[in-house]
Amino acid sequence: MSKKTKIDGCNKIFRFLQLLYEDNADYNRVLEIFKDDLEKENYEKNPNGLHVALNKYTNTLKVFGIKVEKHKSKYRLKSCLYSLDLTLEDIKALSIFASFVNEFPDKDLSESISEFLEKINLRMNNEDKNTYDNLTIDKSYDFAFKYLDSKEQIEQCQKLCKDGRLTKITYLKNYKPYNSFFIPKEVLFGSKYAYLLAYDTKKKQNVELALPNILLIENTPQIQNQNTRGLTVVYKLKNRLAKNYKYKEGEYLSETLSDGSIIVVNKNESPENLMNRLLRYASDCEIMTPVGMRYEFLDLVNETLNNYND
Amino acid sequence: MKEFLKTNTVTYNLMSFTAFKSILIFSLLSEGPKTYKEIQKSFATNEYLKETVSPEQIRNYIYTLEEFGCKISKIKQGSKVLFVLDAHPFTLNISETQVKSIIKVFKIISKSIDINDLLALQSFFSKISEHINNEDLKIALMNVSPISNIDKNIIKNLMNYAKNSTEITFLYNSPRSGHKNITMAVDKLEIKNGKLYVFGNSSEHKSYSSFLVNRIIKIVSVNIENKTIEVPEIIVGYNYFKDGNIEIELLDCEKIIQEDKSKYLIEMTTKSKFEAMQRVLSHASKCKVLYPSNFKADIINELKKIKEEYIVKEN
Repeated sequence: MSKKTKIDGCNKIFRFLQLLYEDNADYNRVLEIFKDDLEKENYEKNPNGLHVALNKYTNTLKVFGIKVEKHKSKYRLKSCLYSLDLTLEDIKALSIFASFVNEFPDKDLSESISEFLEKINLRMNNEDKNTYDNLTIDKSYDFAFKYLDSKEQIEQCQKLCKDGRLTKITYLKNYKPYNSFFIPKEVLFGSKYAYLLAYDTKKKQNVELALPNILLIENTPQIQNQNTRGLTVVYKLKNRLAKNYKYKEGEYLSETLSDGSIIVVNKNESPENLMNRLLRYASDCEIMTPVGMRYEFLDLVNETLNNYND
Repeated sequence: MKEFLKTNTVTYNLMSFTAFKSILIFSLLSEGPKTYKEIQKSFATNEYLKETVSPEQIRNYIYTLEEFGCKISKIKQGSKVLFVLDAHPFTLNISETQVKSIIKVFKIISKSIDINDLLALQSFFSKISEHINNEDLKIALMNVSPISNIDKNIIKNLMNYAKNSTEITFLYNSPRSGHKNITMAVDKLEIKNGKLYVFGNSSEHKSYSSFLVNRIIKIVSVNIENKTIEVPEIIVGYNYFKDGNIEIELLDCEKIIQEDKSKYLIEMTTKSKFEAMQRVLSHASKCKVLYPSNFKADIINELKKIKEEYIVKEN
């Protein structure tokens, strides 16, 4: 069998295409690929030689039906060689994600999703692109509006989470200001409000602070380990609930008892949220450990019953 | 290029024919496996090429594509040799950070979108997950939707029945009593605590009930004419004591009747007593039921029952 030979033009056009697919086709990078053509063809004698060499390849793409546009010294792919096989439902899903990115206050999240959408966009055929553009106009969810009031606070809290400093936070709890030193961990987005998930160093547990209830944030210079674990709670679920229970994030099944009851281990959920959730399960649920949480739960039940002492 | 646009003919000065041939071979292979003959035919009939290409030249193009990063395998089918493009550098490559962001966003938006759109998202990301290398993240993305692992057709049918409150009978895998037929006038589908339920007036409990959709095995019959079950609505009034600057997040079936500095008076209209009990209990001490009196008594009894269980065990 004869020796295989690498074909120069083939290699060059695919390197060019790769830069385009990576959205990385700066003029100078593209020229790097083709510069030896200049020498071979003696183009350096021609002041426009560089363009002539490059144009041969961009023309090849055009003749093949691949659209490439140059904007501010960068080439961009406008239609592609390889496209994803997308259905109308897929395009609808994409347009929902695109609406999310629009002004969503979590910049890191928005940027990451935008990059993902751009990758998909580079792999869409023209027909899908048209459908996508029209769908985006026809239907849009505005997911950002509900967090707009807290936009500055969200940015501030995200910075706190990145810095990992011990932070004194004063917040409203039952109309009274309460303060403690926290290790900020993550900004969470609920269906109506954004929350700061933070480790309360006084209570030694994770808490979720609704941003509108945060009154004052004071930084300290002390850097803390953000991997500090919250409280681990073990509880039992009985009857039908045990058979249908869907584990939440940070939860796992520890044991299934002979009567069908299950023992669940919950890590890191804010105790306040957890107790409210478990109360909803009424007598089908019982907190096993820590003992202190059993008493806290009993206090919560008593407090609720006290509402009816009239 | 202007020349090409006018005459539709291509000269060697205008474009790189080698590059053109490379793209043509790649494009042919991305359509599916190809033999030497099929590639040769394509070269011969291409309006810009109209030329013959030898097997050796084809092998060189394929070798260059492989060097570039394409994975091309050769399979034998009888006397024919087929070239198969197994992978190439242009396929979608989703980074781990992007997958984590997608999962996070999916969780946020799945709380606010309708089930039809959720189905679309689930189907799209199921397709996209093929392009994720990290197996754990792939599984996490596949399971992030609250309706993953549920038959899509059952969901779509139930949504249609809910539009007209159609009475249907379905085979249900009950956690207590195993397989049984349940007749229900379908009212709505809703996600609660990350699970999809179908709500309606049911023959099983002779009341407004909810059933997990993932336990429905099949829809047995559709009773278009018959409406045998009617369940009255209950209106629950309760005070909700305010918490700092946080406003209460109302359910669709709730409205604020009155508001003062420290509390709201909220009315919930529902056919499901169970749903109402769960809602009120989840508010814990922030809530006090005012009416109806029998519902209020049930809440107090439930709270006493919980308390007794804890106290008995402590003693």
